Amino acid sequence: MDAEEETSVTELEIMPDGRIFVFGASGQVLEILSLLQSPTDPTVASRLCGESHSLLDAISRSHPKPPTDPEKRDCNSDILG
Amino acid sequence: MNQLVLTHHSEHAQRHLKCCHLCEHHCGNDRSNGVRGKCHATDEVRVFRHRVEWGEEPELVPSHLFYTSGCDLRCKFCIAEENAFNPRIGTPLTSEFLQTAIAWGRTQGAKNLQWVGGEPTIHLPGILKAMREIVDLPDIVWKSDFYATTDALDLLNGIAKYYVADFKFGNNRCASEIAGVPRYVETVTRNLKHVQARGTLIVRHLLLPSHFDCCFLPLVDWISENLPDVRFSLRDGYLPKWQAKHHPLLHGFITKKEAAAAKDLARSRGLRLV
Repeated sequence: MDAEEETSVTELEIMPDGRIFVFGASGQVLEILSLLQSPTDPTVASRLCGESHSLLDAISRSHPKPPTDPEKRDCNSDILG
Repeated sequence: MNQLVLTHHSEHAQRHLKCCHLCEHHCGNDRSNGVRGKCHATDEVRVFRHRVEWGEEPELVPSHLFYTSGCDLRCKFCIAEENAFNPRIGTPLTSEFLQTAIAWGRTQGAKNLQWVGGEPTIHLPGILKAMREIVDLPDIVWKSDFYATTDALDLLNGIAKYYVADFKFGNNRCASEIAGVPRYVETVTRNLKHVQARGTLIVRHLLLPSHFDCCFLPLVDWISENLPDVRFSLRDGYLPKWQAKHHPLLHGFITKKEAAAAKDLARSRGLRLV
């Protein structure tokens, strides 16, 4: 195993009722999932809107242009869980 | 973190490799001579995965998780499957590997280092020894099944900033049948009280199918009576992995309705849901 671990993938399991179970979510995977809106579950939003927008900070380091503008993010919105 | 505390605890921990009492199995084996206990581990620590994750509790993310192989429990539903139970799997933990991995984690935005398993507590001597050599160690999160001895937990005092406790079963019969351990409830509840004032404690519970009345209810009652201010992380993403696929009660899933009922009940008991 390298110290820079690139082999650990995020595992997704989709239930028959539409729930998506995510294991080992990377920031980029969570960002994608946040695009799928859910009316009831704020769990993803609460992580994405965590302290200092650190996900977006991390993404901005690896992409010239961040996929989401942190200033326009509604941290109280409900996003997919 | 106080480096002197880390050095002291690390040196103190090494004696468990000669006569191990890190977990409540109390095997007393000389792991430094290759004698394996119930966890099957010697004095070697192996990391079978490390990655920066965002699925942890919001106050922890992004968290750099280091998964060590080997465990003192034998949960039939373990999502890590063989990785959790075979301590021969993975890369040997060295301070050089850890230093490089931490540096990589920081480039990914990680704000802490989280030890998970398997069960990291069985590897406390090796983990503390590796961490001693690290310059600018991040905050430490200790994710554990809490089947440790209080002596082992004392070795984390002043080192772990967060404790994430996996409170799996609400009675000893289920713990014995599913995880193969005796005296589960008294051990875990004792340990939760033992560390509650030593850092931020988050108690996790993964809802198990057909274990609402026997496990979830008594567990919630105990927390509401004994640790009413603790952060309670209720997980409903159960998957029947490992031996649970063929288990008569563990092969199913948690429905949306069951998950909602569990959350309602936890709230009605006044628990602080994450």
